[in-house]
Amino acid sequence: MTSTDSEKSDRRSFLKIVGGTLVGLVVGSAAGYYLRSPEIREVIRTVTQTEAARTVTQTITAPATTITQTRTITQTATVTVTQTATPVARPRLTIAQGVDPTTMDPDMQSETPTFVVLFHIYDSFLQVDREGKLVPVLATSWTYQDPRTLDLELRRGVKFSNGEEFNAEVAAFNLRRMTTPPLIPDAKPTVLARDYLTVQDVEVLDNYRIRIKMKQSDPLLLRILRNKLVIPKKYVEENGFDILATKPVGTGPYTLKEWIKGDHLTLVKRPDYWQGPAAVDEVVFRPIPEAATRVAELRVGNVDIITNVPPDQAGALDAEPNIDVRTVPSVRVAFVMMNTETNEKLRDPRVRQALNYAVDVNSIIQHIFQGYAKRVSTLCPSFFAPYDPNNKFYEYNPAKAKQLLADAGYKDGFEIDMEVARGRWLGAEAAAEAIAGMLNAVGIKTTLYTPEFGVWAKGTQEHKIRSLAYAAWGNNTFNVLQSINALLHSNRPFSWYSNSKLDALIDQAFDTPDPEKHNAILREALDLIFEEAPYIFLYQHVDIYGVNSKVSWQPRPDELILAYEAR
Amino acid sequence: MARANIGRYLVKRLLSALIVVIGVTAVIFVVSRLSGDPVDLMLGLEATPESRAALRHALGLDQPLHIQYFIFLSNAIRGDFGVSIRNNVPAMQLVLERLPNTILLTLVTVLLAVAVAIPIGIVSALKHNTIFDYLGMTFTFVGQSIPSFWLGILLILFLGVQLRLLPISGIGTPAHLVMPAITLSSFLLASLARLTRSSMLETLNRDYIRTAKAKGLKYSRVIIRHALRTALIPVVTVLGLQIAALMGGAVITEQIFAYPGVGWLAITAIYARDFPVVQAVVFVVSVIVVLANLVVDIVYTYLDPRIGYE
Repeated sequence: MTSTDSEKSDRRSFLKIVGGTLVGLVVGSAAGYYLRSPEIREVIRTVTQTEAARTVTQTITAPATTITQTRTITQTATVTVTQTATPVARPRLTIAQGVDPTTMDPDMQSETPTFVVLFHIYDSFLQVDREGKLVPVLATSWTYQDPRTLDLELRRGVKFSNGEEFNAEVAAFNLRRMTTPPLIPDAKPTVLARDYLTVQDVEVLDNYRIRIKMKQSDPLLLRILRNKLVIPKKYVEENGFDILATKPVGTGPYTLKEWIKGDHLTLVKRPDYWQGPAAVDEVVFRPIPEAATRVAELRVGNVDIITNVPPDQAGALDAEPNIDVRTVPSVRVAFVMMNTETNEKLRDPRVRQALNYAVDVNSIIQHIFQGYAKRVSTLCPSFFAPYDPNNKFYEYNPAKAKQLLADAGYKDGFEIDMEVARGRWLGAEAAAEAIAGMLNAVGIKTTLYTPEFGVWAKGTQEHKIRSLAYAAWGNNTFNVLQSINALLHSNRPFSWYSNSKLDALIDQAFDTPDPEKHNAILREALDLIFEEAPYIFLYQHVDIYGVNSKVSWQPRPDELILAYEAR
Repeated sequence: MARANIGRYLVKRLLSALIVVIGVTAVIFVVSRLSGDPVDLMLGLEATPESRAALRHALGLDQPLHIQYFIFLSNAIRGDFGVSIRNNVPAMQLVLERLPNTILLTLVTVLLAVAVAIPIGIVSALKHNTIFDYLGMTFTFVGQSIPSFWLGILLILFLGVQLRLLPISGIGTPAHLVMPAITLSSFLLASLARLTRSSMLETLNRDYIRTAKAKGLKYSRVIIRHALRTALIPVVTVLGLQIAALMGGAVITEQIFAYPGVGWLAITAIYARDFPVVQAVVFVVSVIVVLANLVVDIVYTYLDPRIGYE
């Protein structure tokens, strides 16, 4: 009996321990959850107040009407607010992107959503306007002394948010971090160093002028400098580069207030910004991976701008009275690559042209992208310099495709493998399936593979792709030379095509910084690419944003969302 | 005597748990490195072999695999799980920042599931083949078949957008937990209810229940003290296993509701091949799973005195 009792009491005490641990965990995590930072509680209170205000409006109007009518009245009330509102500073703009930024160190990442945040904290040397023209920022003018020597004149009187002054020493320090290997002792190679391989050395000419020496002529470098967000020298020398990852200091219009990773990041405006303070006081970025959730948050008014609205939801969203859908053709161009190295059939230009004739691009744009894509002739988006508005296209002509295949000796078609990376590009899997079906229709039996993007990327680094590969290419330099060099120059790691005439034109374009001559060469290269058809040419993406209609802001083709441009 | 038994049992279990955790991290270490490379993803597709080699060297990824694993293990023993490749901050810090969110969500989910499932199961068993039974089982059948992403989005549209009752995404207030917890618990709730029902039905036909009734015990006491206690053994087993599934199953739910938990962190890290973060997540989750199983085994001994600490 006694032994049973003691066992029983043991069991009880154990249960107490187990129960106690569980309760402790609940209380502990709840406490941690609420006590993490005072700022969070402040934000919550504000949100609740907004919510309360809205509820009040609804209660007042509700008794007289049905639910539907209540909504209408609320909306009318909102419109009245807009009309009476004076154009004073907007207190807060909330932007929902699909992912959280990765780091606050601008040189250690290459992702658009991170750039979007960092362009508020830092300034770049140069920027491009919506037409792709270079405009000065921290560099006020730029001169090529010769094709391999670029002088930058720097802006005076600019200060970092910690008071440090921006000058030629700081500018040179920034570029010396980007060379391979870095010219700063103990500096790690940066992620963006891949864009600065031509930079040999940086000289300080005087307090506000630097000279960039290049190993070879590189007209793209000026375009690259629009992505070089300028970090402070003294701050980094005192604290190390790693501090930038979480405690950024820049010359930009905003400073970082708080960053609760995975939940939100808040920026506040600098009253002393050198271009004048921003109209929006506070910018909040929220990562919301699921598109339907982003749309829902926009509809209830918790966020003001959302990115990547799915094309099939754009129409319904635009019909909502307080929401605009705003679009812009993007710098991202989709295509199907052809591996002429491993598949000898694809070495015949007639076969490559046949593949182009076999694909009904307009139908894909209409049915998969709901019209939110823009056909391109080759690889050049509509607002890049050598774009020709009278571009030719391969029309959809399956009969001609079959004829070309027969001419090339493939009357009965052939079998081919095609791949598309999953989860990377909008509509890619659906489009690739449609293309495979269209190729089947002209007798090219296509097997489609859909590897995860990381697996596919690993393959490409080992220079392995299947015969056909659907991909999309974003080009932030606004110069098509970057795309055709990376994709079609025979000596590049991501090219599976070889044409000595095209190689020569690309090399020549690199050696010719003069814009007019440069563009003429590119035009010739694009004509050659059209005739040679090394890819199946498709379309440029159209970026779709959902925007609170009270917010004055227009999307940019480079995918940046700049709150400084918003009202 | 019994106390010493428990102590020895715990030490034995914790030692084997340690082996399990080390084994899991070793497997993850190798497997995650087979399918991709963070450098490829960070530098973009057009990067030259030279820039890739430079970055790979800076990250220590150019070392042979066994050396990398040895470095990882020796640092991990000292609590250093490395620095996130994408975020450039300690990997364990990223996990621990999000862990309270995940534990909170998991616990609320489990409590919700248990609180709803066990009464449904009991009532369905007691009112076997009546309208209550059919209603309860239809409810659980639906709960088991609804995919969580669909349920989550429906809840957002109905409770969040139409009725504006609940916040749609993020964290901050207890209300933020409601929709994720309902979504996450639907499957668990349904399976627990069905299991409780069948287990109760089986127990209610046992001789000792008839004896208890014959002794003239109060009906509620027979059901709760005698029948339910036995019937709960399989339920507790499933619950323990499901905690593991919940930590993993939260990936989809966390993404739908932009709920910053460990699951969402894990999936982002896996896609980016951010090895230190993947390893830290796997380590923490496997520790939790092992501990959860241990707790289940101990709870058994309360429910069934015949089970001992062996």
